[in-house]
Amino acid sequence: MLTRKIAYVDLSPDVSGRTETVPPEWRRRYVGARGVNMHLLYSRYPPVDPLSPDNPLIFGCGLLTGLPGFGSGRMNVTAYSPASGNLGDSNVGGHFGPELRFAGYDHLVITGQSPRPVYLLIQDDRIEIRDASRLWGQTTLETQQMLRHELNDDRLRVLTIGPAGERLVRMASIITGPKDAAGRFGMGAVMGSKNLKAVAVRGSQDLTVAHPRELLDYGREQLDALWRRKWVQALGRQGTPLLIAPANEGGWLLTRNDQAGPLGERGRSMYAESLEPYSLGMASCFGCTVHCRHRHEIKGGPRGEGPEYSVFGWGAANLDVPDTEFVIRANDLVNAYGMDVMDTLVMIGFAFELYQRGIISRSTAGGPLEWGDGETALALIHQIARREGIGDILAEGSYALAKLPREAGPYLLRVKNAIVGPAPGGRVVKSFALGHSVATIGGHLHRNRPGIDVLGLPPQVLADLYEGPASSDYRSYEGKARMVWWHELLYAVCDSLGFCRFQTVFNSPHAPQYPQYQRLIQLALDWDMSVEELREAGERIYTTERLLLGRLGVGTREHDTLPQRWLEEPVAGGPCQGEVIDQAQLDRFLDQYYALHGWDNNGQPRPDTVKALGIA
Amino acid sequence: MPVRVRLFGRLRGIVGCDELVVQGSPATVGELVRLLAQQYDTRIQKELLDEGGDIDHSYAVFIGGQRAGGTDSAVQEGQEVTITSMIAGGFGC
Repeated sequence: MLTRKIAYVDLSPDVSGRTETVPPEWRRRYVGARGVNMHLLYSRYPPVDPLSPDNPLIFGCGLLTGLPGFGSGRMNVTAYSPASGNLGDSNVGGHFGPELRFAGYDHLVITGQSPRPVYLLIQDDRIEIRDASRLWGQTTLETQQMLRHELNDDRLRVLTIGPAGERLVRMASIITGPKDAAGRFGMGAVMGSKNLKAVAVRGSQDLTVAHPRELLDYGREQLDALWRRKWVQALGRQGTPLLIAPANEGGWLLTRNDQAGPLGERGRSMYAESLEPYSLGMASCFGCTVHCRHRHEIKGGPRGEGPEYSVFGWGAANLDVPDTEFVIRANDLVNAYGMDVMDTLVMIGFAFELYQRGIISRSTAGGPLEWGDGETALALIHQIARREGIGDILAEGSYALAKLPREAGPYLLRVKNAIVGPAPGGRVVKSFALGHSVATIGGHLHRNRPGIDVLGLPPQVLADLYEGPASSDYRSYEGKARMVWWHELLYAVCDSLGFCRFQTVFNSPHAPQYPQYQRLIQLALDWDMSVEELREAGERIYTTERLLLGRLGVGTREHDTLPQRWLEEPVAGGPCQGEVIDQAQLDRFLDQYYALHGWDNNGQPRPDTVKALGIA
Repeated sequence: MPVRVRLFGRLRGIVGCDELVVQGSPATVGELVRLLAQQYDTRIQKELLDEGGDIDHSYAVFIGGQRAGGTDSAVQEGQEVTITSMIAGGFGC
């Protein structure tokens, strides 16, 4: 534990790999996982074509991944993104991260391109590059099953791409288990471009910690406390689909690529309770007490895991198909092919709107694309993954616009060329929307979604939490810059520790955060990191990401904006009818937000800030 | 005038049904919760309210399609009340 390693693997012919110890000062300053990944990318790898051999694919475990903590099964996958052309970073749960640590490694950096399909086999310190010809073309689940069978090891942990990653579909994901995905920003396409089908790992080494007994006792005490919380019990019973009900009732869950209002009464047929006939119980990632993941079976069909809220939101509501069985089938198909559920379903909704508006013809589409037609949506998933027909265009994600009529542009909702799609609450919950404008991976919730203002808490609770005023009215703009900034720092630290977002102040103001992290670090590593030092690490990580955006040409104010639809088209119906994002308020938000980070008025980190954080 | 209350999420599991009808004319959410506890199950009040007597942040209450701000939110005659589990984040996960 006190000494950890990075393995550098170049897949090009006749190039050997090497390992190095993670420099202790990196761990102290960037913590691990996302933080160290970003430092590696910033300090050693200048921007390149994301599908070129020189793009490093970096797998990083958290400082406390695999130890008692708050959902410590998580890790990050980082590279330049073929989906957006900018910064790509995706967080994944399951069991792979801990297993990689048990094998002795905290980070893998993969560069080069193999002339033929290969996979990496990591067994403790030994790393082999093996032929993967027979695995090429297999789905994500088949690949994992084949490797386990061939290596006669049921506990082998595998990260793999599916056929979509092999075909360089820009929203291709990397999957482990039935559904755990490094889903966002095309990390699977990066893997495919290297002819790397999978990474399989088995570790048997100990994670040495400073105070093992005290760490176990504290970890158990914290998990017991978490499990007594009502919100944890609700999440453990229904998973993220529990949010469909408040999102639909509250009018945040919009339809038809954000053109139309909520489903209303029709949406009730897909609330979380609708999963019960298909449920085989709940499952969890490594070391998690919440177990928020559904295991399911459609009668006569294969078993799977999920779906999460996103498939209901971006699939069922977005496409106007409020049908839980459609959601499960779409979920399983997308995961089997190895694609990001959000981007895939957003691209299908985008195609439906282009057809509705007559921007693409029936012949281009290969048939009618009608809202509410779930079977056509499922057929399009196949076509995207196989790059067939219009699927070959949609597989390009944001880059599809180069192959479509110019009028198509406004209907693909993007920020910094990353697909946003009809994010629930996009125009309604102002902190959500404003966070999208500045997220360092493009418009995505996981960099900064504050969320706490949807709970209707007394203003003083928010003021205490954020150490400054922040409105508890989710439609208000007041104090939201502080909220977004505060969560950016916390989430950077949470990710870099290898902990789950669901067990921090993402879901409840009373969830674990810095003080609990500080104690775990002390017990595991005997480091006395103050809360202030942890927050500064969060700022260092986030500012490093902002500097990377600067190198990529999207790190200034003009790029911190929102989709035209959110700025110009009020919500069309339901309880939130009329809500829209005000440009003047967005400008005001940016002024406040940049100042909190120590960036200049154009959104660029000031030299004194960079120096004070010691970023080099 | 009876009030129809639809339940989703954790409370449905505790009460064991998806819909309740409250007899009486509660003017506020707080009165409604008190009547629910009296007429059906005392656990409802303990579950729905926090230590300060307001709606626990792990629940959301909607009245006629609008989110209730707290226990003093008004309940109008003929409005349907919906109670769901709630967490802050997760939208889009």
